[in-house]
Amino acid sequence: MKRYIKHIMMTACLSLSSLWVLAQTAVTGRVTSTTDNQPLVGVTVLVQGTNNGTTTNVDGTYQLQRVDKNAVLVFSMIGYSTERRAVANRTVIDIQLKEASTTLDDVVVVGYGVVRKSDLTSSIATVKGDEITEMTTGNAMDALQGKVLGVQVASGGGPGTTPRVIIRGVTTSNGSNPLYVVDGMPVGDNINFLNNDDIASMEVLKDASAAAIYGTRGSNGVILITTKKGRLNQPTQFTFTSSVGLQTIADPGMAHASEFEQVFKARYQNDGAVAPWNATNATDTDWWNETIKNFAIVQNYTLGFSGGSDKFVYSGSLGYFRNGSHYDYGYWDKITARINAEWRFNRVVRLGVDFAPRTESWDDTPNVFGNVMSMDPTTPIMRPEEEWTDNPYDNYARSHNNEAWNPVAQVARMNAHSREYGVLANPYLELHPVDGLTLRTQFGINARFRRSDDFTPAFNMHAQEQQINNSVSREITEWVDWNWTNTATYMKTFNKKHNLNAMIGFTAERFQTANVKGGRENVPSDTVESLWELDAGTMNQTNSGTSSVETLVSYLARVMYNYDNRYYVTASVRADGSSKFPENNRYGIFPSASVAWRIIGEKFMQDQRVFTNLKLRAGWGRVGNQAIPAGRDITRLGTGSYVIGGVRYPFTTLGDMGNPDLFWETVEDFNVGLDMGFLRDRLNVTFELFQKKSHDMLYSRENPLFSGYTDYNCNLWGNIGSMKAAGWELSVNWADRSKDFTYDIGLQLSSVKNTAVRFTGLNPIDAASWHSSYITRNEDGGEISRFYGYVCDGIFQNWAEVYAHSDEHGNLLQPSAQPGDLRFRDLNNDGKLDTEDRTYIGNAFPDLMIGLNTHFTYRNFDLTANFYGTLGNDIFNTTLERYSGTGGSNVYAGTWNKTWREDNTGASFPRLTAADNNGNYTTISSFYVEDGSYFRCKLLQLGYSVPLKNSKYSLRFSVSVQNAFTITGYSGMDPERAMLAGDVLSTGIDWSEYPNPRTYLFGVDFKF
Amino acid sequence: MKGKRLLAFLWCSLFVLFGHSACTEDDGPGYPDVDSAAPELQVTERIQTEPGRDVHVTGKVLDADGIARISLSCPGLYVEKTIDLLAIKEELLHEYDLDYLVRIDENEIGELYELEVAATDVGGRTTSRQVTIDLNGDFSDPVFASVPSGSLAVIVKEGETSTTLPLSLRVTDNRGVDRIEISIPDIELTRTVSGGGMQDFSTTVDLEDITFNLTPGGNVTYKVLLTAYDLSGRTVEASFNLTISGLTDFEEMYLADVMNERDLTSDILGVPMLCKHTGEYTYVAEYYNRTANTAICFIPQTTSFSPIMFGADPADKSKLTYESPERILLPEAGVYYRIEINTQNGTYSLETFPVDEAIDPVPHAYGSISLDTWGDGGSWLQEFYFGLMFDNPKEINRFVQDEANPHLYRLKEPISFTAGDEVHFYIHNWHSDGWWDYCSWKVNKNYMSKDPSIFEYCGSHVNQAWLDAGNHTVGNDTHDWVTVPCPATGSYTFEFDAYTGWGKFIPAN
Repeated sequence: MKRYIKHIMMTACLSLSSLWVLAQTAVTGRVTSTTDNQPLVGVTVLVQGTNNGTTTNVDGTYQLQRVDKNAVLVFSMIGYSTERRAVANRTVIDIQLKEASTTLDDVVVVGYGVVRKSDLTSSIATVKGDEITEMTTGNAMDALQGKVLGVQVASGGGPGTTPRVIIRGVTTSNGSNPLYVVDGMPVGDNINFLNNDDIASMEVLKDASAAAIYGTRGSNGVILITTKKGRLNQPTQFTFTSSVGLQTIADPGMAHASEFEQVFKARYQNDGAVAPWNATNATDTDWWNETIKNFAIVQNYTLGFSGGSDKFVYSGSLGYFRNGSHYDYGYWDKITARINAEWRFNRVVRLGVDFAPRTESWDDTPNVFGNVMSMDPTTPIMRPEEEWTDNPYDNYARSHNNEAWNPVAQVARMNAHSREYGVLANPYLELHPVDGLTLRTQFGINARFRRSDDFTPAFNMHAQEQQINNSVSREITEWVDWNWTNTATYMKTFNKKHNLNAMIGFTAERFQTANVKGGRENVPSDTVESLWELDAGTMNQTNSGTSSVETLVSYLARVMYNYDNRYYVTASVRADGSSKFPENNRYGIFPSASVAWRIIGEKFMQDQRVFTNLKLRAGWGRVGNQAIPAGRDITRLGTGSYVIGGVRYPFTTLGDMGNPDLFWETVEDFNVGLDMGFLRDRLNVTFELFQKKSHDMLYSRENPLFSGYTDYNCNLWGNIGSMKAAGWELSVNWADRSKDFTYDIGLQLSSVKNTAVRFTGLNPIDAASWHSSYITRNEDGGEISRFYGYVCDGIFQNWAEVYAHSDEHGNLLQPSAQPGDLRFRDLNNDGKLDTEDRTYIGNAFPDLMIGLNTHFTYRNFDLTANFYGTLGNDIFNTTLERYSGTGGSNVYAGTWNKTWREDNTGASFPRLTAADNNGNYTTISSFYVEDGSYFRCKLLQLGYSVPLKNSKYSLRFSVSVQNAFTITGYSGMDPERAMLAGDVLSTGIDWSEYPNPRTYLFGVDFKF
Repeated sequence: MKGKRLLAFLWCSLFVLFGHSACTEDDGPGYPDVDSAAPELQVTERIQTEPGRDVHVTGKVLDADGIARISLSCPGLYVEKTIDLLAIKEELLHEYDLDYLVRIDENEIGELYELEVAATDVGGRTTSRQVTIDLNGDFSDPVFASVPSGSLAVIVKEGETSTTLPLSLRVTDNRGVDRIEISIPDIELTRTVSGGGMQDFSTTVDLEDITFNLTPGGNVTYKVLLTAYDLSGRTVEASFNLTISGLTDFEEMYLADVMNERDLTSDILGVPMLCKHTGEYTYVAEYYNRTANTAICFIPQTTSFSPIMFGADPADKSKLTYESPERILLPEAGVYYRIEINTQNGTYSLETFPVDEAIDPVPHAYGSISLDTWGDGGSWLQEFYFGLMFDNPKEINRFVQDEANPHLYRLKEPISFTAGDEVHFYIHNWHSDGWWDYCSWKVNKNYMSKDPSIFEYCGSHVNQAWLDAGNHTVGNDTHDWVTVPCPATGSYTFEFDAYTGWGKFIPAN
């Protein structure tokens, strides 16, 4: 009976288990990436609520046994958004994962570590590599504009130039560029050497609570760049990306010969004088077309590979970038290579190296826009042949009617070539001795070696345009920087709710520069290049050289803790010692703290359906700045000369006055942020408020009288200033898909006010010298880089208006004025026009910065349109002087109709005059100030991914236009170029710099 | 409580309705009427002036309510002015002394203008008055545009007791010259010349019957008074000393190369060139003859060919005379002439030498890259050029070198001056850093009053050949900048002979 019962029981159990098995099924499928349809290896596929799971293999496929037909599968992988799918009786579930540029589970690189984005307590923005490579630029920062809140980027213009980057405003007069850190190695403030295709991501540490871990150099923000790495268990994949394009810059439209002559003569005739017009060999030369090419070619090619086994990951690339200039001379190119590899010997030891050799070369791009626009169009390019000499450089024509140098001749004489070799190497060793503990030591070297050769031929076009002896020079410079970083990081979760991440570290850095230069004159030939050697020079030998070494030693520590992924605290401290400061002030301590409350994790948020993410952040920190010339603590001797009766008597005098009490300047930063996600994270909104204030700002104040010296050399550096930047940022991103159509739209708005709290406490700081005055004034308590001058009140239309512009007794405010001249306002009504009537007439920094980034895909087509713009900034447009013909220079086409005459009283520009006794064009006034607001389409790109049968391959073609169009009321060549031109205290002045070109590109991306 | 609120509301309403009604105009609140009367305006009703003479419209404005603004309007004279007292004064004025300058252009052709003055008080009440501006007045004295200055000398022969003084006079007046009175009080001689009402009147007068009693070897000096009258009776006076003697050894003798007497004063520095006084009655001049047959003469005064001019004797052109002389002709062009005259012997000689033989003190080839910038033997050479320096060696009005005569330079660009401007300069090389006196010419202080057109070399670097040629020294503290007034508004050019040191600042056109 017992056996019978047992049998029955077994049968029942088998029956029940059969029933259960019948309710389960095996599920297979394939996981691919939405980005490139490539299989994803190592994706975790887990039955929700169980331990039943697996990972995808090299083909991206998976197989799960015994899956309940009503179960839900969770697909997750670092770097991709997590997806959930109900099994619903299916046995095959294929899925695509989206690269998680905005997902909360994304990993964000922070200084000396990584955290999940959802765990961030600071203001850190991430830009993925593919967002950078959307644009073809020589410097990755050029592609960042409009993509990161609060980051202003102004392109440098010509080939090989460096963009200016400002993160959350300016709090120091000692530079504004952030610190760049590539794979943990600080590389200064220029990343021209990097191949944009090598970049996996860029993290912008915007607030001090994030950047304080970089201590002395974090005051302008830190940008962490992580290069691409291979993945474990990933088959080798090759990528080839290429783009070729044409860059164009707009012709400013200068006057032709007839209008030039008309204007030239009128300037004198209006003054009652006879124009010294020289009509010899008159022609009509379009100097813009003769000097500036219609387009410059830009090209970019990168062959990359990556892969990995369970022990070894690797990636590498070989890239070539070249940017031609718009002149017949000048280019910049770079050949870059990169090998990143990591060996995992066992669970404890990892060894890796990032090795990136490169070479850059360039011919100096001429900057003769000024002469191109000034040159007399009646002058031919060459002299008459009967006047030619054996020296071809003599045969160019001298300007007939002004002093501008022949720009075609200038470009023809250019011979300035540089080549630079460099390597960035980052070997590291990582140990994981116990669970959660990581010990890492990394020794990075960034070494560069540059040789620059210059040759200027002898030429004699005119007494005022000649060089008697040719000259040759060679300059060799080397930079060798190393950085030794040692960190110990412990990560552990206690009781499933206490999450701890603690790090301590020690770094030592050394920066070394050495330079030598030699020159001679009078080599035997102007045309035989092989003779352009120093040894061939026979006259005026010169040589010079210098070297410098700076060191930095730092101790750092950081603790990140969160409770139950709801309450977050981060605190860090870094102690820096720098050789730039005197012994007694070498060390500075830079602490930071930040907190966050992930409100969405609270129970009371479980039942609401409005938010899918809600987090409140607040941070505080101190960061430093040491960006002043070395040796400012030392008093040094210099030389000078007295001249008595034409004889020079050299002497030795005080050269620099040192301040032995110099120490760090410090920036203190507060930040409050709110991250919100709505509608299943389709809508994400971030709002931040911040304030940065510098203390003890390093500033060179005018000679203090107590020094007893009167010479200007006795300016004294001191920790005396303070500046403040305060503003807000708002980011709204919407991403969604509908069948075959996916799209995301991001709007970035930010605003920052830059204020000088105190410079020296003495006189205002005037900057940007022009026409014996200054364009900008920086005053304690006021915004920086504001234009300061007279208020222009229009043009005098008749003598009655001239005479009415007088004091109460009829004494003229502008005694030299005539009808057609500019009227300047007597602001203080004191009956005279003097410097007391000057006021602030414009602000260089914008009230609002706007970034609008959109991306659409429909089946195999994708469209990207990125925009950037500013509102409320002014530009001091010095190029308006080109309506005056000053010095006989050429004028903009249409000047005749735009300048005031008795029969053209509605004109916008004052009368033509050679003497300009009223100072129409030599007075710093609001006449020159224009609204610099603009809205520019930075990128318009249409792509097509060719559907291929073999999913291991992908092929994409694209056409794009960079700087496609600009909506602006600004009359100059490029409002973006002018917006951040100049240094911190003299920003926003248009000096006719190389404008941002419009670039038409065709690109091919091939993966296999 | 409700009652208090209601009361407060009523008070506020009353204030809004009536509290502001005291101010009746748009000059803003806060100016309550006092007498509600229009301003009292007293102005000069008629002002007489002349073209080119500005006038002041004066008067007084009184208003108990307070004066807001005063407007002046006369479109014909380009007057459309509002004096906004509320804007420019810190406090409300009840009394204001009007004094407003009205400009009258010198080319104004109108005769009578009505200028309206209107005063408005803070209540918006306005009072207007008309001021007549009459341009028929005469407020300008006549001007002696050309008159002997300093002293004149007349040479007489032994036994003569009277002589005639030829006088060239030029008087200008905006209304017209009525007459010129010439008198020598010592001998009670008076002569009147009618100006005929001309605005620019020139005449040559032979002042006859000048009697004297001359002892052998002696001389007599009379003061000659000149008074010019315009049609309105306004006068101007001038005087000079007339010395009567036998032939004397004049201290200064000038070479003049112009024919028209008016041209003698057209040069800012004065046209005649001071000659070297090499011995008793003997004078030597060196002169570059640009064109053939240039006519020259020698005069002991600077602004006139009279009373004494030495030239070729019409009867024997190899001789020199002061009696009705002819100009001496320099026949050969492109050479330097060395001219020596002896006024006592009545002789002169002409000697030529080519440009190549003339040596000037310029240390380097003009326009070459040869300026030793640092004075250290040439570590840095810059372009060497010179010109007029009005301020510092970094700002030079550059010369252009003459193609035919390398010693000759002239300004590249003309310079404009206004009559009466003080022209203050010397000749200097350009230097990028403003170093002084590498190559320069100044005027000897001893000759400044006699002839500021003769420059002497003062540079620290000099052409050794010039020094070796003998009798040349480099100037020093005895030399100075030229400071002269500009005689007439216009555009001028400068010509300079580095060999002779003679500079001419002459009209450009």
